[in-house]
Amino acid sequence: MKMRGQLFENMGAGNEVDERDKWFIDLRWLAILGVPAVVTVAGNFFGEVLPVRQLYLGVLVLAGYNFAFLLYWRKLVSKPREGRAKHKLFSNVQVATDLVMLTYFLHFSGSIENPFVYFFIFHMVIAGILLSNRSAYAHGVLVMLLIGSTALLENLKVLPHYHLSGFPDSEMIYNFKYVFGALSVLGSTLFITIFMSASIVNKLRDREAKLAVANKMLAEQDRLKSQYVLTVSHDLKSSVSTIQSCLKVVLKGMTGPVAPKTAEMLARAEKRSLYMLDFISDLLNLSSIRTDRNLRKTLVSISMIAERTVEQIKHRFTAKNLKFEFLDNLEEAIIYANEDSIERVFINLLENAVRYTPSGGRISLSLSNREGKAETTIKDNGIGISEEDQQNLFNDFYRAENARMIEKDGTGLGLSIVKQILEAHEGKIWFESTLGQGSRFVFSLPVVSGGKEAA
Amino acid sequence: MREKKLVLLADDDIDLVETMKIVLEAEGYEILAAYDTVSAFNKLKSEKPDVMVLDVMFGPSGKTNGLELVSKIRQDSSIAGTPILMITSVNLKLPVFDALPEMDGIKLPSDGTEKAGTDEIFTLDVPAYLPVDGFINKPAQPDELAEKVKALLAQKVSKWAGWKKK
Repeated sequence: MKMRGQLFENMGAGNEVDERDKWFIDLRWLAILGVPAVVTVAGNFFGEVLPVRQLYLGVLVLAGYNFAFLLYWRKLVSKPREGRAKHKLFSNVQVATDLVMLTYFLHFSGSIENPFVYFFIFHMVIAGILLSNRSAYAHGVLVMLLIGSTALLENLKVLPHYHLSGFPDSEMIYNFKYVFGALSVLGSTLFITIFMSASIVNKLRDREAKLAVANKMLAEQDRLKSQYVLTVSHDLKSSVSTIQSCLKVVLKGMTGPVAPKTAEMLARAEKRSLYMLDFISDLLNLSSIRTDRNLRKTLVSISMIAERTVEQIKHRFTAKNLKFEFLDNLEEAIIYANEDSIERVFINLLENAVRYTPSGGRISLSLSNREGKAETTIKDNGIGISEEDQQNLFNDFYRAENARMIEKDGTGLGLSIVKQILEAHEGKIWFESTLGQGSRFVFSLPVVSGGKEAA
Repeated sequence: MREKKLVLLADDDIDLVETMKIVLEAEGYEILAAYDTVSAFNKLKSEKPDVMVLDVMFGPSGKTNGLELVSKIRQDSSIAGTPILMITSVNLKLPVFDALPEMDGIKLPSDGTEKAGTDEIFTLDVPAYLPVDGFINKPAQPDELAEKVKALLAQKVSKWAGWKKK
């Protein structure tokens, strides 16, 4: 259980990181399309002032490193066992490279005077949400260093300034007050952005962690429940089976001769203890199906299960001199099912047919495919079910009146179990019956593959 | 050499042990009983019985200490060859993932251990990998018990005698 949990946790984190890095790369292709468009339009506006060549060169560099990132990402993904540290570093490198690139574009288009300077906010939102808090603030500092130094160096005329006339009117870059003010506003905006997105994400991560804990607790409770069922089954069953064994030994005469009347009473007790064992098994079957909807299923051939069950129960047909017919029109239909449970369905229905059909009667079992469902029909010419009993037939502990007359001991759980199992397999069961003439039970299960369609 | 074959009954259910004792004594065997894992192991070492009949759920309810004991016996060279008949009341085919962690040292197929933690492990056919020589289901029927013990006595040495903990 524990190992399974960890497995999924790691997988989840791995996928998230993979997706994040890929998302950065995809977004960058958009920027690679967007920047030339803006440059072309702006080139028409500002004419020769705009150093178009440097800007297009920037786009080429952008495309070049994005391609390199894509190749590296593919390499990382192909080796899922690579540490998370590598992924983290990769994300940070990607963001930092973009910050440098945006600074480059801004430098050639008016630096701090260009309103596009606020595009840094997008980077800060992304960093605040997807990277660790520390990296996000570090990227904020990096932005301020990059754009701040560019603006200051332009202000000091160490670097050339590319002024886009009218955008603003005068060359504000040489006004230190303006540079200082613009940088302060930009800086505070960026850090507040990081702070806000990071705190929202922290809250979400917190909640996620709490949900994970709750999930783990549920899994643990589930385990305790199975343990409980197992313990009860052991304790109840072992006592009754020991009683049964004790009686058997006495009845066999191993402890000395037993008077006929005593033997008869002991035989009654022994029979009842056997019935009680069946009853406990039925109850446990039912409760385990009800509590554990996740029956462990595999792909199995329904014909094979049917044949195996028939093999098991055949001797009871002969013992009661019943004519039995088995018709398989399915030809290897595969269903997705819990084998033991489906076997239980066959056994319960066939046992009922044997029990409630007088000797010399007829029972038939047939399999066919109807519109993608495997349909199993179990027909007998036994005592039948009265209309009144038909309504309650699938209720827990319910036994039809004529059935109780024929066989006193019976749990009344057989058909409940059948119904529960079929429901856990997206299956259905229905029946037709006439009192004194016989019954016909049909159940259907979805076929995964194979199986000849009925003509 | 002992005159009679010696059978060790290891089960914490005293009533069941008494019952089995009657059945097996009638077959002419000498019977030794142990009601907990420690004394079962000690009696095995000191008396060297010819066959051991062992409960899966040996000890506190819900615990499968019998499985641990099997593993311990098979690793002790002086008693590793003892044929063991295991009494089960749980379905060992689809059990009991609760039992698996306690099956320390029970050899599982390689693909099973690889996929530990996935659904695969739950569908293992556990009996095929338990180093015991036979199974008997509760409630134990007198004839079946006598027959299976007789078969193990004829076998003399466990087929798992050379079994090593993985």
